[in-house]
Amino acid sequence: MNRRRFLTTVGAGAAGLVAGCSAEPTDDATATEGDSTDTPGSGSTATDGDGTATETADGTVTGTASGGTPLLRVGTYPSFVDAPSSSPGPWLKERFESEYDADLQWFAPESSMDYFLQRRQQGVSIDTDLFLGLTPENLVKADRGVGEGDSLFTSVDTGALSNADAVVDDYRFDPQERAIPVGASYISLVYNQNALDERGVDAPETFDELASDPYENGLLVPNPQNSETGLEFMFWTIDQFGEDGYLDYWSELMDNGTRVLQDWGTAYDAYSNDEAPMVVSYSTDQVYADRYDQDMARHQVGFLNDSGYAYLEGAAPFTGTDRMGLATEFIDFVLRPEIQAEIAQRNVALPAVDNAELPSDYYDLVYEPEEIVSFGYDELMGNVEPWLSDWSRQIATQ
Amino acid sequence: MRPARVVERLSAPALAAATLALLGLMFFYPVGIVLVEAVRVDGVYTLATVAEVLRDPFYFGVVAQALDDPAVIVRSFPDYRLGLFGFTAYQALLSTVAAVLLGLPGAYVLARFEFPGRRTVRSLTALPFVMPTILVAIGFVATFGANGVVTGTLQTLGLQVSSFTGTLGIIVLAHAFYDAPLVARITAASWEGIDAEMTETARSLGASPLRAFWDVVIPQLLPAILTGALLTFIFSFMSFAVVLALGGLSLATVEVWVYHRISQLDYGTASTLATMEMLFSLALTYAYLRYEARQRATGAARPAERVDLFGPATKRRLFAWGYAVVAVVVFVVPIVSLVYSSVTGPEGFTLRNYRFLVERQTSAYAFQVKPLTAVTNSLIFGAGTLLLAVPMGVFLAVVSTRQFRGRKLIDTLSMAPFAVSGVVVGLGLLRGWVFGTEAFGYRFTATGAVAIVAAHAVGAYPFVTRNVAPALSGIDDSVVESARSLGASRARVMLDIELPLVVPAVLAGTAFAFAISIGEFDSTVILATGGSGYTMPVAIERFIGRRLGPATAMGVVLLVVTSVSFVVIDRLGEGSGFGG
Repeated sequence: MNRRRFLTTVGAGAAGLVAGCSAEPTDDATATEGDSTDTPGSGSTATDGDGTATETADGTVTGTASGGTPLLRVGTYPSFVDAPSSSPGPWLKERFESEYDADLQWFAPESSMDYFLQRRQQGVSIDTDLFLGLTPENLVKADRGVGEGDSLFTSVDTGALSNADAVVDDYRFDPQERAIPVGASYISLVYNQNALDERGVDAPETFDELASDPYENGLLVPNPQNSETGLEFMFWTIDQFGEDGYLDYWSELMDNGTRVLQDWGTAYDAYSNDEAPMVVSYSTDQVYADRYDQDMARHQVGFLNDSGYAYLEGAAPFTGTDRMGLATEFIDFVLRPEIQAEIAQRNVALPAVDNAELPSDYYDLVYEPEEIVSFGYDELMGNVEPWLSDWSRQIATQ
Repeated sequence: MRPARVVERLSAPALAAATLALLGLMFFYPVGIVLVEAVRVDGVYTLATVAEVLRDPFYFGVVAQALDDPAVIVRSFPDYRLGLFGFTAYQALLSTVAAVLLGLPGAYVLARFEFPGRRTVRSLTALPFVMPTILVAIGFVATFGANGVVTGTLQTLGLQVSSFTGTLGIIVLAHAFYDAPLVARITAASWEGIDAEMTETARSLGASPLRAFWDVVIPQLLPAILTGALLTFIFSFMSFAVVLALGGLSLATVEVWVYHRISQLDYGTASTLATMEMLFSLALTYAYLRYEARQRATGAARPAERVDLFGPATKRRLFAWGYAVVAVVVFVVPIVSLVYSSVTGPEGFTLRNYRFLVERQTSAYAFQVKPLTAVTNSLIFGAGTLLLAVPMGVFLAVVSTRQFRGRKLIDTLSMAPFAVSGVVVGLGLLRGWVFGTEAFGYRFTATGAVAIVAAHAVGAYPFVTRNVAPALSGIDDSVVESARSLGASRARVMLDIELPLVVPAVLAGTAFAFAISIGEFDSTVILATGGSGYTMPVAIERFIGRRLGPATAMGVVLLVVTSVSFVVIDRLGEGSGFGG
C-alpha cells in the first residue's frame, strides 16, 4: 500500500468513526420519557438495521412505526429471542402483530435487565415499554438499585388481564403486582445414570446424600455470581438449611469435590463431557434430549428432599412508558392459555397459568416436584446480596 | 522557512495533542468515571472503601491480618494466608513461568530452524490469543478432561489420573496456552537479530556451545523475554473467564471479584479492586521499563544461518523435535479437538452445526445474531482498531525513545489499558459515551460500534508501543545523526529512515493489535447491546445452548477468518511500500 492510498484510507475510516458520534442539545433529553423526540444510543435500534456495524449514529426511534401503527418495545433476555435451539420470541412477535394493530420490537441486551437498570441509574431514558422474563431476584435488585420510593417498574391493572386468576399461586412473586408471572421451570439435578451405575449408586434423594462419599467429585454447579440457575440452587439450600446452616452445608459440598463453574453453559458442557455425573440444571432437560434423540440415561432428572426450586419469570411495564395500555394488552395476550402453552413449549419450560393445555406427552418429559420451593419478594428483599456475598467469600477464601 | 518545513515542525505537537485527546476520550475519561467510585460514597469523597478492602484478610491475607495484629507474621509462619490478591499473583507467577518455559523453545525453533511453513506458523502464533475462553475450555476438556486424549493416554500407560480440570495446574496451562506464543514471537524476533559473529567469537575463544548460549545469546534475549513475561503476568493476573471455566470459583482471582461486585451494583468495592489491580500492574510495568531503558539492543550485522529442521539427528534437532511434540499436545490437540467436536454429534460425523450457521444466515430475524454479520463486524472493528491503534502506538513508541524528564512515567501510563479490567472499560464507555455525556448544553453520544472500536483500540495500542519502542531504540544513532547533518528535519528522519527500519516490529504489533480486537469479549459484549455490533466471540456466546455444536462451528469460523487475516497481515507487511 503506498503512502497516499494509506492516508486516504485512514481519512475515510476516521470520518466513519466521527460519523458514529453525535451531539444533541440537552433540552431534548429532559423531555418526557418515551417522547417521540428521544434519541437513544445504538441500543434501541435493535430491529431498525440489519445489524451491521455501520449503522447510522442517529438511531432515532419514534413512537410510531410506519403508517401510524403503534410500536411496542419489549425488553427481554437474549435466549428468549435468540437461542440456538428454539426461542419463543419470533413466534410471539408474529402472532401478536397479526392480532393487534401494533408492531412489536424486541430488544435483548446481553446484560438483560441490568442494562435498563444501568440506564436508569445514569438518568438516561429507557425507551422500552416493558420487560419480559423478570425473575424475583431481578425485581429485588432493581428496587435496591433505584432507591427508596422509586421503581424501575410500574404496577399492572390485573383487572384488565382476563386470565389473571389462572396464574398458579405458587408462582406469584410480586406483592405490588408489577411483575405478572408468565413462565416457570424447576431447578433440579440432571444426572447420568450410566456414570452413577458405575459407582454402584442410585441418584441422591436428599441434600445430605448429595454431600456424602458415594457422590464425591460428582456435582457441577453454575456460579451463582453469574447465573440465575446457580443462584436459585443456592436459594434452595438456604430454604433447606436456613440462613445459619447453608454455609455449613456448602462446605460439606465443596469438601466432597463439588465444582462451581462459570455459568450454566460451561457447567452443562462439562457435564456433557463426563467431567462429573451430576449438574445443577432444569427439570425440562429431557425435552431437549428427546428432540435430539440423545441417550436418556444421561438426562435423568432428580429432585432433592422431594422439592424443587421454581424458576419464575414475569412481565412488568417500565415506569414512564407512554404505551401503558398496549403494554397491558400485551401481558393479557401473553397470559392467554393457548399463548402460554406455546411459549412453554418453545422456551422448554412450564406455563404460569393452570389452564394452558399442553400436549399430553409433554408432561412425560417434564418433571414437577412434590413440594415447590421459591422465595418471594419479601424473603429476597435485602437478603440476596448478603447471602451471596457470604457464600462467595466462603467458596473463594484462600 | 518553507511551508513544508512548518508542517513538519508542527506535526509532532499536533500528533501529540491528537493522541492525548483520543486517549482522554477513549480511555481516561470513561475509565475515570467508573474508578472514581472507589473514593466516592453517596457523592462524598472518602477513603473508607479503600481502607476497608486493605484491612480485609479475604483480599490481602496475611498482610491485612498483620495490620491488626503484627504478631501473626511470626505465629503463622510459614503457612501464610494468601488472600485473593496473593493467590491471584501466585497463579499469575506460575502461569508466567509456564509460558516462558513453553515459549522460549518455540522462539528457538522459529528463529534458528528452517522448515516448510515456518512463516505461516509464525503468523499463526497469534491464534491462541483470539480464542474465546469457552472454546479453549472445550478444547482443554477434550484434551485434559476426564475423557480427554491426554488423560486417556496416561491411563493406558498405567498412570492413575482421572481429570486435570478443576486444578490450579490446568489454569496455569491454559494461561500458558494463551501467552506462550506471545513470548515465543517476541523472543524469536529478537533472536533473529542477534549477530552470529558474537557467538562465533565466543566459540573461537574456547566457550562450549552451551556456555556461548548462556553468556552471549541469553543476555541479548533478556529484554524480549522479560517483555513477554511481563505481558503474560499482567494478562494472567487479570484473568477471569478461564479460571471459572476450567477451574472453579474455589480458584477465584481478583478479576472474578470485580465482576461479582459490579453485578451486585457494589461499584465502590469493584472500582477499588480494579484500581488496585491497575496500580499493581503499572508498578510492575514501571520497574520493567526502568530495566528496559538500560538495555541497548544492537542491530544485527549478520544473523546466524537457519538450520534445516529435517536432517540427521543432532542434539539440537532432537530438542526441536521434542519441543514440536509438546507444542502439538498443548496447542494443536485442543484446537483440533474443537474442530473435531464441530463436525461430530451423538450420531457420529455430522455437518448439522454448519447447517445451523447457514440457516441462521439465511433465515434469522433482524433481532437475531447472524454469523456472517458477526464476521464482517469483527473485521470492520479490527480494521478500525488498527486505524487508531497503530498510529497511536507508533507515536507513543517514538515518544518513549526520546530523552526527557518523566518519560518512564508517560511510558508506564501508556500501558494503563492493559492493566484495567475489561469490564471497567466496557462499563465506562457505556455510561460515558453510549448513554451519553452532558457538557456545554449538549448531550454527546457515540454508537455502540464506535465505542467498541474505542475499547479495542485502547486495548491494542500498547502492543504496538511495546513492540516498536525497543526496536526504535536499537537503531544506530549515527544513522540518524548523519541524516540530520545532511539537513533532514527530525520528522523527515523519522518518516524516511527510522520507521522503515522498524517495520517488522510494527507488523508484530499490528498482528497482535488485530488479535486483541478480534478476541476481545468483556467490553464488547457490554457495548454490543441490541441487534448490532456483535462480533464473532459474541456470536459464539449466543450460540451456546444445551448442545455446544453451533458454538463450536462458529468457533471454527472464527479460527479460519483470523488465521487468514494473520497471514495476510504478515504477507502484506513484508511486501509493503513501507520497506521491510
